[in-house]
Amino acid sequence: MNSQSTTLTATKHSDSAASPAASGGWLAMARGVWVALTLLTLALAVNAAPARYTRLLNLADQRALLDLDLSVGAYAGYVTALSLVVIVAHVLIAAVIFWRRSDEPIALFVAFTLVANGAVIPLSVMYGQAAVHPLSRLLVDLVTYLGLVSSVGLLYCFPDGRFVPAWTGPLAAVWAALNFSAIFFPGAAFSLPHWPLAAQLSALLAWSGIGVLAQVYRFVSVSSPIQRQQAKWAILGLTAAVLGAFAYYLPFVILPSIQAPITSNFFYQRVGSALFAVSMLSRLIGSTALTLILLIFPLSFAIAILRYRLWDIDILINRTLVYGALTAVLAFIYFGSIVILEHLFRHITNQGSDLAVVASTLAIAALFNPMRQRVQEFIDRRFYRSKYDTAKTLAAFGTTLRDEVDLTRLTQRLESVIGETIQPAYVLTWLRTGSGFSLHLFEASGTARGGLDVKPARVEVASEDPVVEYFRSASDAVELDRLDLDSPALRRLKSSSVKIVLPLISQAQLIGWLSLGPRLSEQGYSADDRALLARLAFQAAPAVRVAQLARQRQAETLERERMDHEMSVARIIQQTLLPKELPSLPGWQVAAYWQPARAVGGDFYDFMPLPDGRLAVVVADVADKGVPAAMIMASARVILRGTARRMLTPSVALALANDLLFPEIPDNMFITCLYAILDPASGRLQFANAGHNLPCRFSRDAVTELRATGMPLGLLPGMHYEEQETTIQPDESLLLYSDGLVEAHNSQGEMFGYERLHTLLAKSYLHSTPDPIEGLLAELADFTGSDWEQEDDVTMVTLHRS
Amino acid sequence: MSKVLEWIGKIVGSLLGLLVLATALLYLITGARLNKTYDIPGVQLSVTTDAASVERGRHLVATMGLCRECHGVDLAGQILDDDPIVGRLVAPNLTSGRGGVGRTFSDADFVRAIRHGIGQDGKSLIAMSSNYYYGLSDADLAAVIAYLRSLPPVDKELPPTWVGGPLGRVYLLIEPSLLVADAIDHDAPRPPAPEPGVTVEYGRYLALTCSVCHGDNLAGKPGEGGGLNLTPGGDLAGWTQQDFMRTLRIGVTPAGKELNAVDMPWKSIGQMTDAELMAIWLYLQSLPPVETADVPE
Repeated sequence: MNSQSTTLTATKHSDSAASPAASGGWLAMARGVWVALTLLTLALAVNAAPARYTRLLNLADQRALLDLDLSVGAYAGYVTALSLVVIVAHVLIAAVIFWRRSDEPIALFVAFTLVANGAVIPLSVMYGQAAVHPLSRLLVDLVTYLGLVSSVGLLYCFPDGRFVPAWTGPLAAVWAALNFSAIFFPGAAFSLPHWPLAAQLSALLAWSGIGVLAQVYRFVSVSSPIQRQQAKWAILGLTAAVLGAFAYYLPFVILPSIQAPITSNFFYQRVGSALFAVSMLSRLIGSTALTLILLIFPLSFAIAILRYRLWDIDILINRTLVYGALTAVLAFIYFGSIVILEHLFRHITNQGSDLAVVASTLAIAALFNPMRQRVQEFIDRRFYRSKYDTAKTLAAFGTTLRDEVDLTRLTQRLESVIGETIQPAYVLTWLRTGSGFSLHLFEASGTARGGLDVKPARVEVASEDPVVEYFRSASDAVELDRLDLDSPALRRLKSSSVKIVLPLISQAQLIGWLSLGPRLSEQGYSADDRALLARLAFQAAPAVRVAQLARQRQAETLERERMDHEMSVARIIQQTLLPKELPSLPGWQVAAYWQPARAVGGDFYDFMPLPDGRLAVVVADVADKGVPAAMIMASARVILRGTARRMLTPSVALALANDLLFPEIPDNMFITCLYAILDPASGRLQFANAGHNLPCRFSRDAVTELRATGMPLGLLPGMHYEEQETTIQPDESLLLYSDGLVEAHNSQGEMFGYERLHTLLAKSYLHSTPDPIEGLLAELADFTGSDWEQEDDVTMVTLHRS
Repeated sequence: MSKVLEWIGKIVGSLLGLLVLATALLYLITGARLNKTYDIPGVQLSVTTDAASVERGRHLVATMGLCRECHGVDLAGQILDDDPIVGRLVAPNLTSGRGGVGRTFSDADFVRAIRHGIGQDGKSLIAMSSNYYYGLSDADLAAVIAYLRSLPPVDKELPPTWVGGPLGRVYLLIEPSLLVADAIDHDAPRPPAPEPGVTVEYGRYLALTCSVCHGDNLAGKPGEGGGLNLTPGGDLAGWTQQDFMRTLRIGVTPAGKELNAVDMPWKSIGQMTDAELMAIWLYLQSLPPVETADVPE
């Protein structure tokens, strides 16, 4: 309803430019005239109907009807009803137009013409043979006159109220005069009914033909696009309307045998009953067909003006054909089966039976839908080849969609198949991005297609825009012209002349939409087109979603691969920061192990031979893992190397390193570090500890931890470090390690622990060469299990004095 | 499926083609038959307009001729059927008024029309009952013409009969007796006119138009308006001659049923003389009995 009123508002706006709304007194008077005409018409119809029925009852050739197995009452009722149906249909449509649009002169004129013109044939049929009161006759003549004149007038001036071309104005006046004499002075020698048949026919053809040509003229040269669409309707509806004049003046052409008397039985039998039966049947069919033709006028205008869905002319004609054919076929089957079954039953049971009617009715009920589909398909194929092909193409395309997982190719194909079949000026795909929806453009083209005058990169619709929610909840193709929302995106779409939006909805999510421009043919999108597109969008949405996911997955894989590559490079770089070879000290065996938890790590160790022959040994652990830790590790290493070169004592070296590192590393990051200086000759070991795991001195007899206190590096400036000293005796070893070893957990949540470490160190002296690293790693693997994900970097350095 | 549809399309197309061809043939054939002219040497009858002849003619026209059934009470003609699908069947104006054939017809023209079903243009008349009137004697035909000539002229111009509708053309093929001249053997010797009297022969002579409704053997005719079985033991079983005459005079059967004047023109037949009705009764009694049920549907 909302969209309906939107449409009407839009229409009013467009019409008001051409035909200003009538105002005040004139409008009231015009409305009054319409009401009076309508009441008069209905009164005349109601007045004549009973007499018409009785007359048909009395005048109908019973023999022919009975030969057709029809009752005279049914015949009379049916034929009377046909007349009433025509009047009622016209009045109904006119009433709706009057109700909704009577403030517009042209709409009011259409309503007026509908009533008057719709009554011409029914009234002339109903009053034609009857003896009626002169006043009734005069009133019938009046309505008839108005109907014949207004229909031609409307044909000349629809839809803007101006006579185009201008000379059709005087022509309409001549028509009015001609009909005036013909209807009110039929006896006058000059009046139309007295003209020779050829002249009558020429006059009728001339006035109606010029009207049709005038509408064609408007169509090609004068009208705005909207009026063009209206002109299509006008040509259809008004051509049907002016047929009334033919039926009125040339009844023998249109109305079969309206005044044949009941012939004598002698003649009936002489000629043979079959002829009369067939003649009766043809009369019934003819009356029905005429009624259907007369209904075209009200129906076409009903749809043209009220719904303003001018492009639906296709579907109207389509449905007219379908239901016309369907009705004909079903009626044929119905009456045919009744007649056959009746004869059959009569033959078998020797009496008539209602079974025939019941069986036929049931058969028709069962046949209706399959028949309708058949006829629809036939009509589509026969008369709407292109549309039929379009439907076929789109349906076939829909089934191949799921094979395409490449998003670009998929949208490209989607756009091109729509472009080729429905032929919009352009079709663009919008897809959901992070913050909203943006145009999805081919990498290849990179520019806007179809002359869309915007920079594609900038075109984006925010997720919060009301139109997005509307699209999400739309179950069909959205016609933007019928949409009225306070939405910047909608305004922008409209200003880009987008006509149709096909929301792509997958699993209740709006994943994007296709926007279609106006059709190249300048026709609107019919209901059929929209249904086809909606079906296509319905099929395409999951495929687009899959392609989107595939693309996302692909991007993620690429990203991961890139990261992996970078990390492996980083790891190689970090490895170069570690000592390339172990120092060779006479009487000492040195070993080292370094395994970061990730590609790169925060642990490191270093050997720095001092000029006096001593060796500085560093094991450090940046309190983090991965890339950040690795970066801190790199700078810590440089600083520690710098301090080592100055041959400071371990405690001074750490204090200096702490002060240098403090401003360089982020808050809440720190480095634990053990700094030792070994004199290989004497085995003397000076060391200081910045919060690192205590190194272990171990021998065949004992395992002892070397204690020295100090805060980790980089936490606080101006720290002091305790310096300790010890001597590694021959056949003693030293283990420097990071917490990654002792704090490893197994699947039960137990920690590897110091105790286990110490036990293992003690055991290592059972071997000939006391290098505990291999054993520790094996034990660690045993402890954690095979599917252990290393929690922290593991670093070990051993020094064994032989 | 599309293969099937394709074939259906081909078949329907072929049928449509055949239909067009058949229609063309239909119009060609029936057109030729409608336009066929008959050259019948005119029989010169001595039409005398004496009162007795005119009266005899009036009697025949009013009774056994049943002329008014089609040509109207004033014999000024009427349109009997008018339908674009079938055609327009017109019984012409027989008087000498404007539009009447009496104005242009010679006596020979009347003879050709009534006895042979041939119009002034030599073509067959449509649906004229000449095949039934062929047995009418020269004297009686002359009397009928004399009566027609004596009719007061009525000005009534009617359109010509026109069998142009497709169904009318088809009907011409399946009911050849519509082209009445074609249904008459114009060279067949006409039966000798029986002497008037209460005889079977004269009864048969008078009953010449009864078979239009009652069937060729007078054993009745199926369908709406079809006549009764008039043969002995038929629908009139148990009737006496008096019953028969009384029924035709007052339009009520011995069983008390009223005759429908539209279906059975008893008002015309009932104007026959007693002797004429008796003769017809004798003739009916002489017919071979046919069971009503035997009437072919």
